[in-house]
Amino acid sequence: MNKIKQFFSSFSIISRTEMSTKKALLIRISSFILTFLIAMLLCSLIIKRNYFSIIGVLFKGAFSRPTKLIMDACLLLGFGVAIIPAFKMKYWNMGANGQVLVGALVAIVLMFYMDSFAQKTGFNNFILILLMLICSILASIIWAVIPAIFKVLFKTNETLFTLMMNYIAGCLVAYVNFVLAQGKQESPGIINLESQSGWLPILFDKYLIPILIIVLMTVFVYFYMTKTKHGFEVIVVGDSINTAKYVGMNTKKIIIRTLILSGAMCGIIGFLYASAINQSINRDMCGSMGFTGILIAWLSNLNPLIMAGVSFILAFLTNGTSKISSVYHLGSNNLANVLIGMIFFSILVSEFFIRFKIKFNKVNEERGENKC
Amino acid sequence: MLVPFLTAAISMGVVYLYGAVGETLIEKGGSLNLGIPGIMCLGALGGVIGANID
Repeated sequence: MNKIKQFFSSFSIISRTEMSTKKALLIRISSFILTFLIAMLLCSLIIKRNYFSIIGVLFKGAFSRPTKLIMDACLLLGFGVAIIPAFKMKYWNMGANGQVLVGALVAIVLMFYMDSFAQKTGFNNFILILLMLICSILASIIWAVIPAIFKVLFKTNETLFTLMMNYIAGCLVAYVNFVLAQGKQESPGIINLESQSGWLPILFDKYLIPILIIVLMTVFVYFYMTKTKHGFEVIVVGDSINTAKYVGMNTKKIIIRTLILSGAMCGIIGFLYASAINQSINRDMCGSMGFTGILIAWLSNLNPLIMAGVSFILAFLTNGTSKISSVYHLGSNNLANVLIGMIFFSILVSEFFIRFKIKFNKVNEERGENKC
Repeated sequence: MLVPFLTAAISMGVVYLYGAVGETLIEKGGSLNLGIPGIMCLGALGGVIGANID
């Protein structure tokens, strides 16, 4: 027991007082590159192939379809940007998945039922798209504001509430799929395949309009958080809610207003899923993008511009490692997920070493354990 | 009809009970741990490895 106490008193963890940004950036980049090389080494040892050919496959596979790579990056960026206002306020909105699902669900239901109506009357496609957008945004706002109202009135824990609303949204999607397919199959598949009503028009490529919309969203959030009065109020509420109350800000209104914005952005992403990316819906449509968005928001320190770079790196890694899985016939995506997990874990650990440092104390053995 | 339902509910609920008791201890300590499924996965992994050691 004494030995254990001596061991744990031989070092102490102290938070750093100053760390220049260049040094911090160097630590992050070097940890990322080092773990990337070690992860590729591990991969080559497991599947017993040449180390450099694996790295070659990763790079070639990621850039083989550039629009898909940029679309994946923009989706992750969209999820991250949608939760920036909530996170700045220290409101842990883990429900981005569910809000996007509900937005996409409403858009799909509209597409399904307005198809015959649009065929009969001369209903313009653009008016249908606009209607789908507005209804998606409203549905996502409702899904996002319910936990906010409970937090403001009854002080419930928003982490758990928003997390649980994800599962409710998933089950709702499964049920509505069953209803739309009239009980014969599990889901109706792609909606409006022949008439393409409610689908976004294809400009040069299928993904051009979604990419533009998400880039506009990022710029909007950057200007909202840094240049407007609303953004300043959000940051003050996040730093210290008592300060905001004493200055005279209405914190309840600010929390609900910020969540309305966050839900609206998730609704736009849901609308993009429904009408541009996959024109169908199922429970794992977003996969784990909501939670990866939280990781990206954390890694980029809630800055929308850095978030673009981090989401591009993650999309690059995801596409490259799935290409590794398919080229070397690994059968599933699991090794790829392990590699991605290792690389991001290393960046998180490097954040710890940027904030804290370990100081080794001299243990004085003669004086015994009473000496402080 | 009711008795087999309750029997099945209890036997399926024991798994949730293990996770919930562990999480209750952590929450009494003040922090919130949302990684309980991950911990259960690693426990299952260890069990499978141990069962196949020989």
